[in-house]
Amino acid sequence: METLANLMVGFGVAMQPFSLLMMTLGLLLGLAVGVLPGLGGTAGVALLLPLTVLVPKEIAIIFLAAIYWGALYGGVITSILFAIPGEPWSVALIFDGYPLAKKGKAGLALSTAFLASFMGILVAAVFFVAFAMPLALFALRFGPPEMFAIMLLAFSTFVGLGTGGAMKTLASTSFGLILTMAGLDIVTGQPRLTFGTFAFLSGFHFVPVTIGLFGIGEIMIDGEERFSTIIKEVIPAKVGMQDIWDGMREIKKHFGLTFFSSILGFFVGILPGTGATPASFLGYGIAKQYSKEPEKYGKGAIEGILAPQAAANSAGTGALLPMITLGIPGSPTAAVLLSGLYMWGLWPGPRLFVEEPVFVWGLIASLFLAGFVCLLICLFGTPLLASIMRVPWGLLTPIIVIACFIGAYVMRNLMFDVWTTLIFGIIGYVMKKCKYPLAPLAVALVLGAMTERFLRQSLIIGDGSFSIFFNRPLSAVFMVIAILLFALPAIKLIKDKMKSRGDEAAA
Amino acid sequence: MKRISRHFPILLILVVVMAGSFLLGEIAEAAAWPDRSVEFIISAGVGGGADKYARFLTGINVKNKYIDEAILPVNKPGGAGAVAMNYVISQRGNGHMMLITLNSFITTPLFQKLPFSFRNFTPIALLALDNFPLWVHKDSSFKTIEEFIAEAKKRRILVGGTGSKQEDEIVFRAIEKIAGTKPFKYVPFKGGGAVAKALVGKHIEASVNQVSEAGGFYPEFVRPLVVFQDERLAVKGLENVRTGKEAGIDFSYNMMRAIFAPPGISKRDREGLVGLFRNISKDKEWLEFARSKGLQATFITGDELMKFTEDYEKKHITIMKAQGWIK
Repeated sequence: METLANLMVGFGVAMQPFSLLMMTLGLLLGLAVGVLPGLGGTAGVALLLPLTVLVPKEIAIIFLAAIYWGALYGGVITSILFAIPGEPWSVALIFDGYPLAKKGKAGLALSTAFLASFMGILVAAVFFVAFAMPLALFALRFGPPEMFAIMLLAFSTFVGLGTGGAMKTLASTSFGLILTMAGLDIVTGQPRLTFGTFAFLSGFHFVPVTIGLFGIGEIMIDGEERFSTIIKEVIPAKVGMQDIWDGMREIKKHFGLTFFSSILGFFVGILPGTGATPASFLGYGIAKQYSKEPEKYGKGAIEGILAPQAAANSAGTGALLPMITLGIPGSPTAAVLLSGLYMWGLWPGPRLFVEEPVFVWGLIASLFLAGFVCLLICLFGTPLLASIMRVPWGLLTPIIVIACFIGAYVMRNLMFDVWTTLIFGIIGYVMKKCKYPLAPLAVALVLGAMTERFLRQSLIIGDGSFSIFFNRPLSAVFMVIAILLFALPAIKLIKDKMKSRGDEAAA
Repeated sequence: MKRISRHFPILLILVVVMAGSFLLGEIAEAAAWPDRSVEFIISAGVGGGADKYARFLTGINVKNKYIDEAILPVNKPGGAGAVAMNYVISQRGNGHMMLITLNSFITTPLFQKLPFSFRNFTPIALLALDNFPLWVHKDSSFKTIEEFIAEAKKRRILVGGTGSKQEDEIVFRAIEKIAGTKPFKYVPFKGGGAVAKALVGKHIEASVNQVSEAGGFYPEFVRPLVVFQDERLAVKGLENVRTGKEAGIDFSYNMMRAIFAPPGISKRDREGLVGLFRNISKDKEWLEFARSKGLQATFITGDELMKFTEDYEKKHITIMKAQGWIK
């Protein structure tokens, strides 16, 4: 009851005209930075953070959080339309969103993604209100061994992801893992695979790499097709509200999956230092693993859009929970919001709920409002966005290429990243031509560094023994599940062989 | 000839415009610093320790308008500060750029054998010295630093900190040496926030988080045992935490929150930058922030700052040599 009363106080703050105005402004800004590849929600929030000293802190946090929600929604747009990840967590959206858009169903893909986003935020917000403190305390029990087990789980769901056969999948994954190794070795502090250069010292960030692999690579493939074959323009389907109704129907049809992905995303989101990106991959991987028709994935399956997107947005929301309850950021963006708290003279930590109820509950109430307002903005914008696909290829492509390079640069302000994008564009093209799957590379790149860190931290804690992963109940459970998932394809393979042998014998 | 005369009016206009803009440029050169926005380079990622400070300082300027031009925080993470330092070094003569330091400003060039050191930068200001208290979990059996040290002499205690062979590990290795404990099992994390979380979640037994990182968890989750600096913390509730020297571990160490600029900048630009931070160092909000986070706010610049940094380098060299990290 007390929670509800507090929530009402929160709505009191968030519903004020000025709050609503700042929230909408934040959402629009967030959508804009979400659309621009590279310039993510984290950068958007960081960029505008110093300006918030000019408004009261309750409104400042609502404004900044709105940028974040906007970016959570906005990242999907370029992923679906151009195969360029607007945000790290929308890489998984490319796998099925882009093929669907290519079939002329961009509007449907977008509206489904937006609706899934809303669902994710809503589920997360309800959990947030109901179990904030116990969940935050539960998340604290996840140390390096538990996190390593979770990462392994994410990898295991991607075993069967590739389309080009097991060896090619393995090669693609290994390439991604090697890339994550360049830079400083976390344990020894020594430069690793840098070839003595400053450029490699920064390591390969997955944003420029994925922009190159998917974005630039796709443009090259597309250009080649147009050059060699008769140009047949894909005429986008009738642009209008119809897509939105269809989107709603899809969500209704796959309600169970969307709901499950939201809950999954929320739990991944509240874990330390993960954020929305691993959640979206995990959402995609599990959806595919348990689909009755996994062969549909990668060719424009609607489930391949809603599962990662619901998980990503739910995780993005969940990442704020440990920040608000304990003062521990769950994601990079939450870390920036945390520095906002310092600036506004607040002391993040368990006392925040008690000492600043108006601030905390205003933010929580704004979760619901922002999720809903952003959905409206996006849905009404969908026909407009989908019509971008009608712009002639020759006009649109140069703009996209420029946006790709700018996006690659602004991520870390490094020219190195621009070269990375260009070179990985070529690599992406070659890999696609040789039928190497790109998705495992992207996953390895995103999760590789984190996985290595958790593994090596665990081994220091456990004196170099792998038994640490099985001595602790939580990590043991996840490890066993992950190992089973890894073994599953192998078991299936053997089973199929046995069966076919059995058939032969029968024949 | 005819051609030129036909184009003469256009040429004349061009020449006048060029001369005019040149003159205007001259005037601007004589005008007060800054001519344009100032880049604030941060050697850590968005949301990291140094990032928090840089954005706080930027916020102060937004509010109190010490300079009219914008200060633009730019993150150049990577290589324990090497990427950012290399970038600032490459911007010789750019008087609209500054770098906020961590102690990696001193240690990274030493450890990675970079072709430059802090001596190549233009000193602007030392704003504050940040603290290194030793924290344990509230439920920990270590009630005092003496108990902690006694146990550390018996077994390898599990500790955590930011990065490897950087500030936090230096503190722990120094404790080992001075108190004669067994080597700590040191787990490197990605940032101060992750370290604090690991401590609160009991995944490590001790950390040397700054008050700004771990203070929010006191007293519900963590307990400070000692602070490794000359004076006690002036933070409410933490005044009774003894200094290292008082507790018999004669070790004093701080994080330099300082500002340096690229090499070879003009006198006007340098004075402009120094002036900006002189004003910020007297700002009420900055002083209040520093007080609440247990920072020792100060202001030194020029040769004095260079001398200070040199002394700090010597201190680091001693510790790093003892560990065999450098020769």
